[in-house]
Amino acid sequence: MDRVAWILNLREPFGAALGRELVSRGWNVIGGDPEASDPGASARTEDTTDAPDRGRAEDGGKRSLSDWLRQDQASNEAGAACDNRPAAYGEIEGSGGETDGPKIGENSQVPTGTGTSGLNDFEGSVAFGPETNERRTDEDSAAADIFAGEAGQGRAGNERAADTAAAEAGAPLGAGAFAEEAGGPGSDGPRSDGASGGPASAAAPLPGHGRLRAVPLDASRPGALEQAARLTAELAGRIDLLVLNAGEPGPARGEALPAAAAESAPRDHAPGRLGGTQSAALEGAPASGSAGANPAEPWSSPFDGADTTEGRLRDYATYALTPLQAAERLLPLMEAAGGLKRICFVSSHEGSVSAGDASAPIGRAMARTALHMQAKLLFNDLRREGYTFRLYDPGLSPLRSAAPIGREAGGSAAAAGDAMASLPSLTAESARFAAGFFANPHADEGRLVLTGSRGEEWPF
Amino acid sequence: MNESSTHTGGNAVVTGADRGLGLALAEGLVARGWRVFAGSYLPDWPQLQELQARYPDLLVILPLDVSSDSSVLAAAAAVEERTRSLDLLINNAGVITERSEDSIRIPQDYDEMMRLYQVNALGPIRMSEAFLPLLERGELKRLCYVSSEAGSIGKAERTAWFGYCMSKAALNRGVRMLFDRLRPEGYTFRLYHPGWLRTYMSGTRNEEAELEPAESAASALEYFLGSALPWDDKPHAIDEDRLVMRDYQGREWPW
Repeated sequence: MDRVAWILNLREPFGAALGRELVSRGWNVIGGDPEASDPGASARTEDTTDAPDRGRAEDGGKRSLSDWLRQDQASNEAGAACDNRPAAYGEIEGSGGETDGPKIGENSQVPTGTGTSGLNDFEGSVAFGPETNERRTDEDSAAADIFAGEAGQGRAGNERAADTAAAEAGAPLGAGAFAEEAGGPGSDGPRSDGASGGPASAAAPLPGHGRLRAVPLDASRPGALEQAARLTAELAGRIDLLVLNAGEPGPARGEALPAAAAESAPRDHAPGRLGGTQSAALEGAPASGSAGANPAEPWSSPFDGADTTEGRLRDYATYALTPLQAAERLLPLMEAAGGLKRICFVSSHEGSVSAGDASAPIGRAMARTALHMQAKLLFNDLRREGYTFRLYDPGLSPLRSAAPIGREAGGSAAAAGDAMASLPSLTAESARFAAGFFANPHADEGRLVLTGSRGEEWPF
Repeated sequence: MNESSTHTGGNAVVTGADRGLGLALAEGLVARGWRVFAGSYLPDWPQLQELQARYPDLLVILPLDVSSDSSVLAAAAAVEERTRSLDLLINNAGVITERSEDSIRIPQDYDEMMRLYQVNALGPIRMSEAFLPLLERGELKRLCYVSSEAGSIGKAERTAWFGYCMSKAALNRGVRMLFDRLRPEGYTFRLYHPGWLRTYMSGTRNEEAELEPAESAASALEYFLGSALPWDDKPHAIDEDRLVMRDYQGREWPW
């Protein structure tokens, strides 16, 4: 299988988890890394398009690419899951790889469900049962551990070790750059949580190793998307699955999150908010209702000024405009013959006008709704050219998903069954479902429905 | 020139009252004896001043740019100097862009999308928040929003118009959030799709559209002011505990 998925934000916990999930199913994944927008790195990658032997700067980009290929071979030698995998993608025609998928549902010609609702349709849904969903065996983990060693040696044994260090620092394209990511919140399932005790496994590579690549992408920087698109074109030539997981990563992990607590009791909290605004406005300067102007409302502090105009505009740029920009820039890469042509929007039921509750910051909820509209408009347009669409609610708010331990908001139908489950495991579970939902054919591609991580459907 | 100057109605604020639907709404209100604070974004456009000359005691021109925090707060302060309470806020101001038709294959203008969002989506929310203290002391506590069928995701059939449709869908969500928070405190809400009007929204007057602004304003005011729907004579037919978007013919639009 040589399908290529492209994930807008690989640092965001859900995006990271989805990346590994797709890799474990044999996908090649390229994703944006918002924290690696080193201008030097981009300069290097631009250089690679020009001519070879342009000296050291050009070396950086080139080397990470060949590193990647080497790792691919290394992983083959290590006996990892897919033996017949090509050394690089883009070499095998679309039809060739389809039977390679070792898991149910990866053959796009064999629908996995009966087609009544999301609940039955997808691998990863409850209808398949826990046995089917368990995809990390002890064997896999052993293989990954072996590979961790080999990959490290491969890099260390390289003749140009100094350059490697530079490449790693500047253009984080190797597995090493994902070391932090691997230990990140929610980027790993419960099983590997157990394994992450030792210092060695803190740097454990993502399952699938060389099949996961990050490109520097700080979407707020002008030109970053063009650059990422260019780099993606060099790496893969085409994109089958475009995942638009807009959103900023949560606060640093381990940090106590008042917002998480606030959000877990939405109904109690919400009415107090505007009440607070009002009373503040009434008691405040007689000249004004100060709601819009005063960022220091006590209730808005957990969101760090999200309820100011500036915060609302930032939310719109983040959750609505960035995905549209990414779609615009990357669409040319999806046109290739034999491509899957699927665009997946990761959103939240916060944006459901009729069913979202009032606990979210208003700007973020509005931006999510705008994203749903955007998905619908693109659906109306591109469906005519054979594109298919997914609109997914992972059931994790960006703030909540960064909390070390927690549970879903009370009213959410997407709440995990196990109230004691940790959020990393919820994220992994949600990503597991999403991987099936995104990759598999759907019974009715003529509808665009916001679907949650239990297969439930949310109204607009 | 003075047609009627008795203040028999309540106090209202109408945004975007320089021309088009906003002007027609302001005119309809003063004709009913309401005192209207008419938000004016285009000081050089003569129509609102002409209306003011006809109703000098009822119409107050209020310089207002709904996309600006400071302008909105200044407007709220100006209204507060003249009245203690407000009964009706009509958020009508809205903009559209000439580049609506550009498909995703054509480079999009993201600054323009930001502008549309600032005015169409955040403007009404900003206005509502700033005028809440005045509305709180009013009788009717009514918040009205001129939205659009273009904000209906369920019925959306367009293949472009990203900036405009996204701003209106977001507006609907924002109104719904205000509804959830404020309805328990006695506020009532109206969300309205005015139809396709012969107005200046895109800069020049659109002669191909299906309705005169005054026609739409008439049914809008029935809806905004009434507790009964204009198309049936049952009183209190509006369910105040349910937020819906209705058009000028009373039809309900899905979200």
